[in-house]
Amino acid sequence: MDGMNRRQFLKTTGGFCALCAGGMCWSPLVFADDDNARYTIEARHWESLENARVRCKLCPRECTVDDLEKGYCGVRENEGGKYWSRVYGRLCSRNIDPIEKKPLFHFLPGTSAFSIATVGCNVNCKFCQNWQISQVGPGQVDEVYVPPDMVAESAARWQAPTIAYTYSEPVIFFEYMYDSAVEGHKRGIRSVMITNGYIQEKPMKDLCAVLDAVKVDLKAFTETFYRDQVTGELKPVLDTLVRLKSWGMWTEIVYLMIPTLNDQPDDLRAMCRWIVQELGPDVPVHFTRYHPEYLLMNLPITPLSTMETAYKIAKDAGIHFAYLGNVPPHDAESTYCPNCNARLIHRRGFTIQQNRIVRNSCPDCGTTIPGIWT
Amino acid sequence: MDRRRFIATSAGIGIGLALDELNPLAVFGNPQGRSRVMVVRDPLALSGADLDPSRTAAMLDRGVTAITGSSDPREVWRTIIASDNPGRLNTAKVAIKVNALAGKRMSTHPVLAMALARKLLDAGVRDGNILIWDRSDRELAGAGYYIDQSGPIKVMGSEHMGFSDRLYSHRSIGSRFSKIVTEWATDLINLPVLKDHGIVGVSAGMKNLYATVHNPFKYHPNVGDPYVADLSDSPLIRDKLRLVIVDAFQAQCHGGPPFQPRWTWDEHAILLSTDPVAVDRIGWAVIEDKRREMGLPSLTEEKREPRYILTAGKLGVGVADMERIEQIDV
Repeated sequence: MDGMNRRQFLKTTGGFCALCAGGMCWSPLVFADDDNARYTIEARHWESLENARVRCKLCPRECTVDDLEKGYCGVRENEGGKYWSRVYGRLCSRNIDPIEKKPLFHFLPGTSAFSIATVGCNVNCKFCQNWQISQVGPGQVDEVYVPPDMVAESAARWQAPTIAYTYSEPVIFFEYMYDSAVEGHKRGIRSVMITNGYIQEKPMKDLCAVLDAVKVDLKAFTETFYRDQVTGELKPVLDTLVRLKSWGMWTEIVYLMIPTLNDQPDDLRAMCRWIVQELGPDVPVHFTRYHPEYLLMNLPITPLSTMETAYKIAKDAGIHFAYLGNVPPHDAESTYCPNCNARLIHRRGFTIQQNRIVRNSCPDCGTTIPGIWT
Repeated sequence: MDRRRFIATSAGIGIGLALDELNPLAVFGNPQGRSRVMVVRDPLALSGADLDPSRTAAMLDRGVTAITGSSDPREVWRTIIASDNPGRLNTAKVAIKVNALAGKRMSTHPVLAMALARKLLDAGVRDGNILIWDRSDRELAGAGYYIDQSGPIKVMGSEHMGFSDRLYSHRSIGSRFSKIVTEWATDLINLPVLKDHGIVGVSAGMKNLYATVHNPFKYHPNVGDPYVADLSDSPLIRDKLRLVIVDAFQAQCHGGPPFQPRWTWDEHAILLSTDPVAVDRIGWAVIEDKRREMGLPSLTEEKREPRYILTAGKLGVGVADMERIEQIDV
């Protein structure tokens, strides 16, 4: 999920709605209704079991789902021994965001992303910043029907070069994301997935054929944290990261720093060592600040000093592109050349103050800066 | 001791115990105490898939009078809703949670739900203050209910009221609750079916309450343990639940939650108790007995033993220890 907090999210949503009200956005093809059939498509990545049961093969949880029941994500449902997605074209959120808000710092900086979500998630983080949409089921929030071709057309109309699947967990709206990415590519619009990385190999590989970048939330570096705070597992997420690297997919990592739960320096060192060893030093790592939310309300906002400690640990471990997010204006929001340390992209929040990268390189020393810049 | 021997001995014991020892109307009673589960049978009540309304109503009366030993069922119904203050009947709003998931053949019978609602009206609950509900109008209609949002007995899906804005957190539960529970109802009666559940083993009373929260799909891992128990332990449920009546006219011992005729049989019974754990524990035993009879492996052998029932017992939601549950055949 994005590093933005709930207030930012609501603020941007409200702003976007105001634009829509002004007639700048949706065509008559888009309307709200509660017709479940409209939003239903046969799910991909599942198998049949006896007694009309199914096993979902989308995420590592591998839910076994009885007839008439939903999977853990709440959006995929067994009906009559077939597995269905109930959120195809069922948007609960859509915004025009700076790509930096995802955050993706090495992907078309300074551009905007047409950002969309359906409800649902395949984990249940106690600290979820967008739980009002990620931890609910279809029909429990306002939704509009926007089929994949309309997603791509809307992005084009907004002159957004990218569609971002974000806010909730796009793994669970796999079919909608995949088809929207295909429609986007037909129009020269790229697609990025903002994900927890809790997905099986086959569906991730399928997605990589139509995606252009992935941002993975690495929520901690211990299985204990994933079990107790996320209701998930660490190992499959690490596997996803390694696969993305091996498939050549541009990937950035976000790590939400939660006081006392995942901010131990030893764990951070181990994580940074693992990243450098398994993914290489060029994968950007964003440390973002926690705000109390959802079921984890008893912890303070992450102290800035803790954030800066994490940044230093990452740099000491050899990570070339470490960043701090959700903090007051800070030097660690900017991109620096790993060779000569020149500031290449000067950021303030999500705004690009200056971008000095020329032909993918540092203008001062010529070092190639990894990323997708054009 | 197996269940049949237990019933044979406990029936005799139960009659002899003083009411204060059993605390018959104390839902979520003393976990060190004992609980009663009334099993009311009438082999003539069910004909094919249809229930006889008058026989069904009589079964309800037999069940509640057996709880207290009273001969006046109307008085018992009053007491169930307003034991602390008879004047409460005027303002009581009773929400009856049925299970309408699996269509007409494996849902709470509308005849039973309506018979119960009429008993409550007759006892003094005001017109319009009784609501028969499940998640959606669509499911209720599919189970044979007539949707009625304005009559003396309302019938409708919780979708009309939605969920609380507030997030309630209790143990493993973090949910928005139906506004039926948080705002409308002063009293809850749980009216589930008795059936096998492919994930959590048994779906009877406590599992039926999953429809009270917005995110039940988060509470199926680990065979529903401790989620099912924690939900029943939450103050919103504990403070309002008065009675559980399990519709076991027909029951299903395998292949649930959908209706699977191959594993369905006519039990001709309702299970009735003020203890939500004890009634589920007896329901579990009924299902295990039938599975054994049909040559199916036990739920434990299938690794879906409904241990949430035992957890609920440990939490003090009710009594899960069979040695302390008195099943009384009425």
